[in-house]
Order: sequence, then structure tokens, then C-alpha cells
Amino acid sequence: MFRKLMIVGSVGVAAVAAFAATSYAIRPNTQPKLRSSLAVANRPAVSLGNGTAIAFNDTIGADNLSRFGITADSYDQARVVARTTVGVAYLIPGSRGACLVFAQMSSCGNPGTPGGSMLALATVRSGKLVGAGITTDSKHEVTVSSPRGLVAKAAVSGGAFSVTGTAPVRPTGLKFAAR
Amino acid sequence: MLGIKKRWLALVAVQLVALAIGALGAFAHARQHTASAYAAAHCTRYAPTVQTDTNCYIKGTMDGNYITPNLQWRDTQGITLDGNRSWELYYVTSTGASVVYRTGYGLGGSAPGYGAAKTKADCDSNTGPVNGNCSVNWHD
Repeated sequence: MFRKLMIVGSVGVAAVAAFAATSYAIRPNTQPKLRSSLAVANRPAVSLGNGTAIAFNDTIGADNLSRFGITADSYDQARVVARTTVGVAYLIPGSRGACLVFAQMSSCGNPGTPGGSMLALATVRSGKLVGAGITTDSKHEVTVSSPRGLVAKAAVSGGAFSVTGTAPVRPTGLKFAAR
Repeated sequence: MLGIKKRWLALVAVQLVALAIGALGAFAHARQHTASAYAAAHCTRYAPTVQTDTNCYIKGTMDGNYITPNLQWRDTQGITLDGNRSWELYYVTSTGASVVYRTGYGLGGSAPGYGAAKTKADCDSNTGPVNGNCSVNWHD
């Protein structure tokens, strides 16, 4: 009887220990963090209010909030990327990436990983391109081109850039490139 | 002697099963916590194929320009990609005008709706084939 109890007890302990150890090993990292190859990470963190955080959550959308690990803590770690004519562009860090948000639009990704050299976002106001973004430390210039040719060029400063088009642009087929 | 060995082997086997059950339970527990919900009046995935109110976020290989077949009142729209690309989101009115134009670079983005008229939703990922989708939330 005692032997049976010992066996059942040890099996239970093993199952509980396995559950605890596996849970610890696969626990999600929920802390927002920007990669060290992004100079913008060195900018001072800005804490956004609840109203802004809720509005940004709506803009980013549930799918991307989950995908890039954006949580309430992310809004205490925001960085000002640029001040444009359509609003302040913020970088919101997540535990699995980051989102650039301004003027009711967002662009998300995992900047700093291979292939993720840039995060950019732009719109057209009064016929002209207005935008902003971030790049990794190795990039110095960002261009926006259309099938007809170069639309805008911006220098990267402190890991960030802003785009202000000087000529009217046709809003179709625009592409970003960083070098 | 052989009987004792068999018992020990059986005990080890039972312990291994218990470890496996514990680990599987932990994975199942973690999955429950990573699920997310999304509510909208209607949603339509329109790239790479069109489907309304079901499977709005399923991905497929997309390349180029996509547009919804119908005009509707648009609330928000988004693009999700598995590779970094330049992308575009906008709406097209019944007269063919482009409104609420947004462009970006990354793994995806979003744009607000348009309340002045019913429109078609349009998205572009024209820098090479990539796995992803475009979806739009709308109301009647």
C-alpha cells in the first residue's frame, strides 16, 4: 500500500514539475524592447497617456498588437521619431517588434533583424508626400520613388528620417529604399 | 531479481509519461493565453483571394495590386506580410478617385476608414511575391 502511494505521489510530482519547468521555459517575453542596432533606441522614452494609447491600439489593430507584442507597457517606452506637418510620429516598441504610428496610420515590423533595415510610413496631403521612419545604424539615406522616378529623398539623422515632398506626387506605386 | 528490474522499468516509463503530460499541459495552457479576439461589423480579406466574414486573416502568396469587388462603407483596413516590403493602402471611389492613401515599409500596416462615400479597398505589395493578406473592416 505504502509502495503504491509512493509511486502515485512521485508520478504526480513529476507531472507538476514538468508543467512548471515547461511553462517557465516557454513563457512569453512581454517586455517592450528596441534592438541595439537602432539609434532611435537611444532617444529618451516618452510616456503616452491612456487616451493616446487606446487610440494607437485602435490604429495598430488587434492582429498587429498581438503579432508584435505591443502592450500597455509599450506606451511608457515610446520614442518621438519626427514632427511632421500631419502630426508627431512615434515609435512604439513591442516584445516582438515595433510599430510606427502617426496621423491615424501605422507601419509595423521587426526593425534591426536581417531584412528589417527600415520602418517607414507616409501619406499624401495637398498633393505632397509627408512621412517619417527609422532605419538601422548602417543606413544614411532614404529615398521614395514612383514608376516615374525619384519622389523624395531624406537624410537619416539619429536613426530617424522625415520625408516632405516638394512637388505634387501621384499616389500610386511609391516605394521606399534605404542605403 | 528480474521482477524488480521490470518494476523499475515500468516505474520509469510511467514517470516519463507523467513528464510528457505535464509538458503538453503547459503548452496547451500557454496557447490559451496567446489567443486574441477581434470584433467588427464585417471583414473582407481581399488579397490574395476574396472572402467575407470568415478567414479574414488567412495568408497566401500575394504580388501586385488587389482591390475589393464591391463598394462599401469602410472602417479600417490593413496589410500583413511575412517579409519586409513597400506597401500601399487606399480606397477607390465610384468615380475612380484614390482617397486615404497610405504607404509604408515593413511587415504590415494599417489605414483609417473613409466616411464620405462607399469605396472599394485597394492594397499593393509590388516589390516581389510575399506571403500575406489585405483585409478591410466595413459596415452596411
